[in-house]
Amino acid sequence: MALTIGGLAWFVATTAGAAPDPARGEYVFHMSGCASCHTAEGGAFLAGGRRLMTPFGAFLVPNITPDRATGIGGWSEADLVRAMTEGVSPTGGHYYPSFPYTSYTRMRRSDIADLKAYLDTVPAVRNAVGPHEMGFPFSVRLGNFFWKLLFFSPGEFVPDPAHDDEWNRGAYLVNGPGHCGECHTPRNILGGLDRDRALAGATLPEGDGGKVPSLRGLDWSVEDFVWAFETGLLPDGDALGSSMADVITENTSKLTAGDRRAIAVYLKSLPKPAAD
Amino acid sequence: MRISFNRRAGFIAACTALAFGLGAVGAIAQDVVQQRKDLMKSYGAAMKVIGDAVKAGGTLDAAAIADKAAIVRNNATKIVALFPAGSTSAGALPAIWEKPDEFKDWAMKLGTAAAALDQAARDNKLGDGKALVGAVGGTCVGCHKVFQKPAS
Repeated sequence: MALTIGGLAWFVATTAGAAPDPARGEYVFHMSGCASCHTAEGGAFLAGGRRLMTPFGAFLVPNITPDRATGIGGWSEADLVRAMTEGVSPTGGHYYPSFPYTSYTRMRRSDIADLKAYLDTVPAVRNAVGPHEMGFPFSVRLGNFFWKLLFFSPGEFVPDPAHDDEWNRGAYLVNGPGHCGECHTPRNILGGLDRDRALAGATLPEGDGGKVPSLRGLDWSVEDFVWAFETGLLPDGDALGSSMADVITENTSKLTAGDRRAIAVYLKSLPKPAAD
Repeated sequence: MRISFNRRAGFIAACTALAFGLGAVGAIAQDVVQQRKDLMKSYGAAMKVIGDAVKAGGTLDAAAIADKAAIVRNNATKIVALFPAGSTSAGALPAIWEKPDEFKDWAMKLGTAAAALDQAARDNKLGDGKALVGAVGGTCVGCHKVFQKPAS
């Protein structure tokens, strides 16, 4: 335990105020689950093209390889920070919240800088992805501006001094880069997240609308959470699947044991939401 | 008249046989769905015992782990035959019947991973067990991703 906290303190200390580093950025990449959407099934790494089918229309996930013509090779670090924390493109367009900037806005700016350094190192792939296929009125991109006024609260994660570093690290990973709430928190009719019922279970916003379980008030030990993040196996011996399969294999299993534990400690602390 | 009666009797007999036949096929389909659920549960029950042991840490009971790993190893590929054409069920995606080779491949991977765990346990080379059990879990997750329909 002391070792875990020590490791965590070391990790935090070494990531603060240093020059952007692609190796750390690769770790941030695993924290952030970018590949789940930006790599299409059978497609080139991060070259986009996956279709996210939602009640609002089909979102075509963009290419985020460093290809200058069809990817984000022309972006500066500030462009990526702005996209991820404000939901605004380099040309000033407002992104649809299918891109989870609503969560990424909580990320440390140094983490995003590291992520940019890593993304610059992946192979550039020329793959032009077409525009989203949205019906009216959702096709009007300016609507995202108003959507943000209603449902977007920008701002970096602020640690809660009432809790220790481990809990705060978990809260950061879950609510920032991990963007767990984008699927586990219910949405209102306009797709805004119902923050009062954060992580209380929802309907999958994409695909066939499967049920996403609550992460609050689970009768799981910290070890049960850690085990599930590491192996995909649940306390009853069943295994995760669906969209959570990639989260396990591409994200949580690639985190440090300390980070898995921090997420577990944070989730374990969340009470059941008040009955409604 | 006699011929016609025989024809009618034959027709009725054929219908009766067909009805019983369809009933039997239906019963078999039901049976096979129950059998595969039971088989999946047997994997899960074994993985729970193994998972609980590894989660608890400390010295692992290698014999108990080998015992459970052997259940998964010996039964891993039996799952394939329990998804005959047309035996749809709520938790199964059509991909099972569209990509039978991939489904079979996952079943074989499960068997291989469980065999490695079993062998390591019998050789007393489990270590903390996490990597070996994680490899088995990885095949469960990988297969569920493609072939299991999420709860709705």
